[in-house]
Amino acid sequence: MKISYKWLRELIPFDMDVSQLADRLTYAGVEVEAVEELDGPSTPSTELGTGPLGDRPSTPLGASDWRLELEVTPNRPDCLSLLGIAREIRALCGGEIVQPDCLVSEAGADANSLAKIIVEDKEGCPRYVARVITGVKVAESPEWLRDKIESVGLRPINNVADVTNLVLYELGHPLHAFDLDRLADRTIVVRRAKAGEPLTTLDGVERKLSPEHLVIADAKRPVALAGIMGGADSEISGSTRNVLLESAYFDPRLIRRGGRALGLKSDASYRFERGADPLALERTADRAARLIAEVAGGQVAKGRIDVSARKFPESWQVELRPERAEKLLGIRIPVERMLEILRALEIGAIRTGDKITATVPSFRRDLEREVDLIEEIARVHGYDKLPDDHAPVWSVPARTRPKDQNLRAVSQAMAGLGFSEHYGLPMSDPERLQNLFPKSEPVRLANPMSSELSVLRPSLLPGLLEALAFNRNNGTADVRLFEAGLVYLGKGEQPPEEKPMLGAVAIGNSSPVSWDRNPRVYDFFDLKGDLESLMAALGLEAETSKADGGAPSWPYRGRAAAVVLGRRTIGYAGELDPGAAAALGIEGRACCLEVGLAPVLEAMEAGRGRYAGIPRHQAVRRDLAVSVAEGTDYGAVKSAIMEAGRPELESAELFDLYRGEQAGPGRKSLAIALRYRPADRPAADLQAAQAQQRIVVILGKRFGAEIR
Amino acid sequence: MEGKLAAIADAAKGAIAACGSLEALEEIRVRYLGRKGELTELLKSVSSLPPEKRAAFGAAANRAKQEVSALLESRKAGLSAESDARRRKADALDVTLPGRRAWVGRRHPLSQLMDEVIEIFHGLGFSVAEGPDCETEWNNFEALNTPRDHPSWNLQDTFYLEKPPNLLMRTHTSPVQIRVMESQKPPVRIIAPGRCYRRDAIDASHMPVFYQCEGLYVDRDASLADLKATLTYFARQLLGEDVKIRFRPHFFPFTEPSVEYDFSCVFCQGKGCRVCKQSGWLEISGAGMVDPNVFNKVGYDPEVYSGYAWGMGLERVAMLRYGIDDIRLFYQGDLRFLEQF
Repeated sequence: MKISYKWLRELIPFDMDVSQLADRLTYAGVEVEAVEELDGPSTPSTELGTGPLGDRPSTPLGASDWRLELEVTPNRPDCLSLLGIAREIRALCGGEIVQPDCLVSEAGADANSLAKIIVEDKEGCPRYVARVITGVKVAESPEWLRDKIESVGLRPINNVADVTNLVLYELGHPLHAFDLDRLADRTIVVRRAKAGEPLTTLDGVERKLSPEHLVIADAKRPVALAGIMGGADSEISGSTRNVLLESAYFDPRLIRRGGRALGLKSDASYRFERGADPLALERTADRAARLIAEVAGGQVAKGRIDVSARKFPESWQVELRPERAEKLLGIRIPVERMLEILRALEIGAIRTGDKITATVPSFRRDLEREVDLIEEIARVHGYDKLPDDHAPVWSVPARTRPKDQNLRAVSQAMAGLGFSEHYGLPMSDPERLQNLFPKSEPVRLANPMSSELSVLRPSLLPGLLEALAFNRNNGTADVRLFEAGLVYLGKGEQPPEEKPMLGAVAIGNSSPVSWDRNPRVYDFFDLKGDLESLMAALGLEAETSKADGGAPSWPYRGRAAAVVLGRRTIGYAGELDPGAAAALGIEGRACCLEVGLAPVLEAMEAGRGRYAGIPRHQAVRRDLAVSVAEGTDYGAVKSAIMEAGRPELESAELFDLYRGEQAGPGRKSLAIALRYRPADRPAADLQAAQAQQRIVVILGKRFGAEIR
Repeated sequence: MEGKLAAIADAAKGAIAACGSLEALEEIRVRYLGRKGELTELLKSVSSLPPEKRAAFGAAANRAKQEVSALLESRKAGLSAESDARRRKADALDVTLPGRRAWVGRRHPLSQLMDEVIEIFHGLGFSVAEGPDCETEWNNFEALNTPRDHPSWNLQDTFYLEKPPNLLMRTHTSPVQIRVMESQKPPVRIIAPGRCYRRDAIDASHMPVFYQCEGLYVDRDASLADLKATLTYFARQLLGEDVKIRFRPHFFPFTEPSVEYDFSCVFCQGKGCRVCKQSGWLEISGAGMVDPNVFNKVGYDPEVYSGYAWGMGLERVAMLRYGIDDIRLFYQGDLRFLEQF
C-alpha cells in the first residue's frame, strides 16, 4: 500500500520528518519498503482552503510530498488505510486524529424506493449497504482530489470513481459505484455466478465465471465481480446521472479463492481477502456519498439500503493476565503502562482484580486471545527494551551426531583429494536426464516453474556435469567437483525416497601443471585411485567390478566400473560415455562417480574398529612375474592369488604391467609384489615358498599363466 | 735397501700429492700399504737383513710407513671435503622453483557456515533435527496454524508433487518443529538445518531453493527476552562481539508475538552504508514465541509451556559474512567462487 506523507498529516498532526516517520512505522511493524519524493503541483490550486473537505490540509500545497510504500502484514487489514496508519501513529507517539467528516445531507426520495438489493448468497455477503446519489454530473475531479489520488500512486478517472478511491485509501473500506440507470430493473442481486456466465471486467477482459465466484448482478446479468472488480457495462461514465454506491462486506475466503482462480487482484480484493471491518459500512458509504455530492453535485437520497443477514459484534472482550505477559516476554511492564498502550490502540482496558479486561473494537479482528494483546503491548512498548544478555544455556551441551561427523569426514576427504564441493539444484531437466538415465522416471512437480526444473533429481550427476560444463565454458580447464546431497526416487503413492548420495566429476589434467612433469589427462585410473584413497581415508575398502546390466547409461563401458562395498554395489565410477558427453557439450574425458552415501556411512559406523596389534615379525616379500592372455582381467588374477595364498599371503600389489616382445604376442606380463606373513617365524621362508608355489599352480591352471 | 726404501717412500708421497680422487687414493694405499703393498713387502724383508742392520732399517721403514700413512689420511680428509663440497654443490636446487603440488579442493561455503552455526548452537544445548524435503500439508502449513485459506499459505509459492499429489516441497524448515514436538515431550531444544523450496524466479537475490537453519526452544518458562539473548549470542559468536540485534514486529501464523530480527550492519558497524541501504541494519529472518495454536495441534499445553522459534536463511547469512552479492553463485559450482572459501 502506498500512502502520502502530506495526506497522513491531515489525519494526524505529528512532528516527524519522512525518514523519522518511516523508522517509527517500521519499528512498530508496518514496514516502509520505499520512500519516493513527489513534486508539488505545477500550479497552485485555487481551491486551496475552500475545498469541500472540512479537514483541509495543514501543510501548504506546493511543498513537496513523499509517497511511502508500506508492507502491511496480512493480520493487520486495519492498517490498510491512512486512518489505520494514523491510529498506529497515535498509539506510538500520541496526538489526536482528525476524523474525516461523514455527515451527509440527504434530500428527496428514500433510497429504498430508488433501487432494490437482493442478497441471495448470505454466507458470501453477510452485509450489504448502499446509498443512492441522484443527479450527479460526472466530470474530471477537482485538482485537490486529483492530487490526493495521484499522491497514493493512482490515476484519476472521474469525480465519482476518484471519491470511491479516496475513501478506500482514507478509511480502508472498498466501495463500488454503479451507474444506477444501467442496472436492469435498478436491482442488485448478490449471488454466485452461473457456470460459464460471462462478465467483462473494468480492465476490458471478458471472463467466464463459475459458481465459485461471487458476483454482483442486476436483474439480468453479472455487473461486477464482488469485492474484486467492477464490470465495464455498469461503469460510471460521462452520461451517468444516478449512482448506486455499494459498501458491502464479503467473506474473505470467497474473495481470495475467486481472485486466485482468475489471477485477478485489486485494491479492493486485497482488503476484502484480509478481512474488512463489517461495521465500517455505513460510515464509509456516508463519507463517500457526502464527497460525491460535493464534487459531482447531485443529491444523496434519504437513508441507506441495508441488507444485513448477520449481525457483527461491535466489540468483544479478552482477558489479559499481566503476569502471563511478563512470563512470556521476559520483562516486567507496569500494569498502568499496559492499560495506557491498549487504550492508545482504541482498545477499552479496565483493571479487574489481577486481570485486565480488554474490549477490542471491530476493526481489530486479529485480537482474539490473550497472547494477541500481549504482542500489542510488547510491540508498542518497544522490543528495544528487551534485554539481550545471558542467553539461556541448557546444562548439557549438544554434540555432533556420529552420522554427521562421518558425513563431514567424507566431505573433508573429498576436499583433500582436490574436489571442491558443489551445491546443485535439486530440480532437474527431464530431457537432460534422459541422456544419462534413460530408464529413470523422476518425481515430477505438479507446478514447476519451467520444464528445465520440472522434476526432482534422481542423481547428482546431471547437476555436477552442468557445473563442469559451466566451468569449462568459463575458462577453467581442470574441474574437480563433488556433491554430497539428496536424490529423490519415486515410490508411486508413497512419499519419494530421499536418498543421500556422493557424486563427483573430474576433467582435465591429473595433477596441477608442473615445470618438471608432463601433464597427463585425468582418466579412469585417476578416478579409481581417488575413490580408493577416499575409502582408505574413511577406513574402508571398496572393490570395483565390471559395470553390470543394471548400470545406468552414463558409464562408458570398458572405462567405468561398479563400486562394491561389502557385497553391495553402491554405485558406479568411470568415464562418461562419449555420446552422453557430446550431448552435454563436454569435450575431453569427463570422469564421474556416484555412490550411495548411506552404505558408506553405515560401514564407517560399523568399522569403528578395535586395535588389532602390530605384527610381531616382518613380512616376507616375494615378487611374481607371470604372463597371461591379453583378455584376462587383473581382478580375476588377483582374487585367484589371494585365494591360493591364504593364510600366509597378506597382500598382492601390481607394480608393473608389460606388453611387448618378451611377453609374447597377445599376452601381457604382470609383475606382482606378494607379501607373506606366516604365523610361524622360523619356517617363514619355507611357508612363503609353499604358498607361492600354490599360487603359481593355480594361475597356470586357471589362466594359462606362464612364470617368467 | 735404504735406497730402495727412500725411493718407494718418495714415489708414494708423490703419488699421494698428485692423487685427485678418493678411489685413486685407495689404490695408492693398497699399492704401498696393502697386504702386498710395496712398503709392506719391504718391511717384511727386514727379517732377511743381518741382525745388526735390522733395527735401524726397521725403524726407518716404520717411519716411512707412518709418514705415508699420515699423508694418506690427511689427503683423504682433504679429498673427502672436496668431494663433499662438490656433492653439496651438485645437490643444490633453485628452491624458489615451484613445488610439485596436488589438487586441493574446498568445502562449500554453506557447508562451512552450517558447521559453524551448528557448533554455536550445540554450545547452547540445541541438537540437530531433520525432516524430509517432501512434506505433508499438515506439517508444512496446517499444524503451523496456517489454514488453507490463510494468506500465508501461498499456493503459488509452493511446489507440489504430481505423485503423490498431497505432498509438497517444504517452504521452510518449520515442519521439523512439528515432527519433533509430535514425537517428544518438552523440553525441546533443536535446530533444523535443511533445504527449502519456493517458487521464486531466479535472480541475484532469489533462488527456488535455499537453506534454512531453524531453531526451536520449548520449556516451562521460555520468553521473548530469552529469544533475543539467544540470537544475540549467536550473532556475536558468528560475526563478532560488537554485533547488535534488533527486533521489529511482524506477523507469522505460527508465532505470537512475531518479530523480524536484524543484525547491526557488519560492513559499517551500524553507521550506514550501501549494503545496509544506510539503515545500519541488516534484515536476517523471522522469529517469535510459538503460537498457542501450534502447541494445541501437537498436544502441548500452552498454559504450561512456552517456546520460541526462529528462522534463518543460510545464504543470507553467508552473503553478509563474506560480502557476496549474488545468491546464484552458491548454486553454480563455479570454481572461481568455490576456491575462495
